[in-house]
Amino acid sequence: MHIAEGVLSGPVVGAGAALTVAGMAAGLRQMDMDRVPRVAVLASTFFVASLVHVPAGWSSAHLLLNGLTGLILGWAAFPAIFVALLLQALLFNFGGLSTLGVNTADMAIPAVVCGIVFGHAIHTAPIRWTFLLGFVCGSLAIVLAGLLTATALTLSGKGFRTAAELILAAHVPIAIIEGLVTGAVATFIRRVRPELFERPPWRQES
Amino acid sequence: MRKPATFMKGCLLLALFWGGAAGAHRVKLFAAGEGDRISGYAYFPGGARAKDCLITVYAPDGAKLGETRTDSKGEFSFRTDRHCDHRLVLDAGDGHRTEFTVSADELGPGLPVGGTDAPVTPPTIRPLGRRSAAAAPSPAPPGDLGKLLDRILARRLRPLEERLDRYEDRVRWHDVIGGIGYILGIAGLYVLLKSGRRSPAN
Repeated sequence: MHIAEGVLSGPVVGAGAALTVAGMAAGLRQMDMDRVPRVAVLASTFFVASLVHVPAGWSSAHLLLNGLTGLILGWAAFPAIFVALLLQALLFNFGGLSTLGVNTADMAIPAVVCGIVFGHAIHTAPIRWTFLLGFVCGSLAIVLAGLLTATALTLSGKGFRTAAELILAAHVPIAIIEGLVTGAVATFIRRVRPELFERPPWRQES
Repeated sequence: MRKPATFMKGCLLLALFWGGAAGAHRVKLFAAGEGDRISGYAYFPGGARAKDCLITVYAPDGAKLGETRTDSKGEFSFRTDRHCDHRLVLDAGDGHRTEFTVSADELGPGLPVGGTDAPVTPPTIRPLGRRSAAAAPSPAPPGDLGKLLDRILARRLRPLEERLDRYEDRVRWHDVIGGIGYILGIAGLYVLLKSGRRSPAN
């Protein structure tokens, strides 16, 4: 999911950077003081999750936990994922600096979308649905991130079907694992700190 | 948020212990020249070999020399007829891409020199046990001996090069801990800057 240096075309790199700048602006505006520790903890989780490697037989992929990040951070998932990806690029050579914008957008947009939709759903649905909603949130965020990555590659002149097939096939086990992790964490948080979940903007308290 | 934070820390620690190996964040290429043959393999560090991937070979001047594909074991091998640096570019098709350069020194001296303006530099092997005339290039040993030495050295050094290559991209845990430290530091700095900006207004 970390697109390497030199794969994408100029316009795609530019568009990704623009989307990330916009997302960062929205995320930073939402990130008041009380949220900063939360963002830091999830950025660290995202940063480390990418090191957990899941062999899939035909390929190998790693956890992302972007669904969980979005579920708890909402728009603030953008700065969290950006910082984590920046450090991964600098420390481990995952992805690249020029593709940082595209990679951030690919992973953070599904995080924000799933986080807002499912955060709202978890708040309103009965508590026994929490695990299922969390599962769908975690899995869907992976699938959407894979599709966005494939789209970025397609727009740079690669075949969409090949890219999408390669990426999605490798991420089936990831989607299941992340679904389980997100579901479990969501159930836990719903019980002890339900207010942690991202709420849609029209339902914000205070 | 005390309890969830503790839970997250638990997840983090679990990930640290579980994640002994790095996954497919990137693809790596290893190649070595021996005589007129360049062979190697492509792999995802800590994970599987990269199967059926296109490798494009370029000369130093950017000219495309040819293409090859990795087989079901992620290995490839091809013959070259040019004595120049070979830049191998692998594209896994899913956004992973990497490069590896096989230097001309690794290839057999018998090959014609690639590129029209490249100077011909025959390999010079200094004879052992002679201290005089260190500056003067000693004549190359007879072609056969030179080729033999090249082949033996290439074969002996290859495992070492492979190990070095793999060692280089091992994810080191102090980097991981460092990364978490950076994130916490950035968060702290952010709070500091924000509170600093707010306090004059108060």
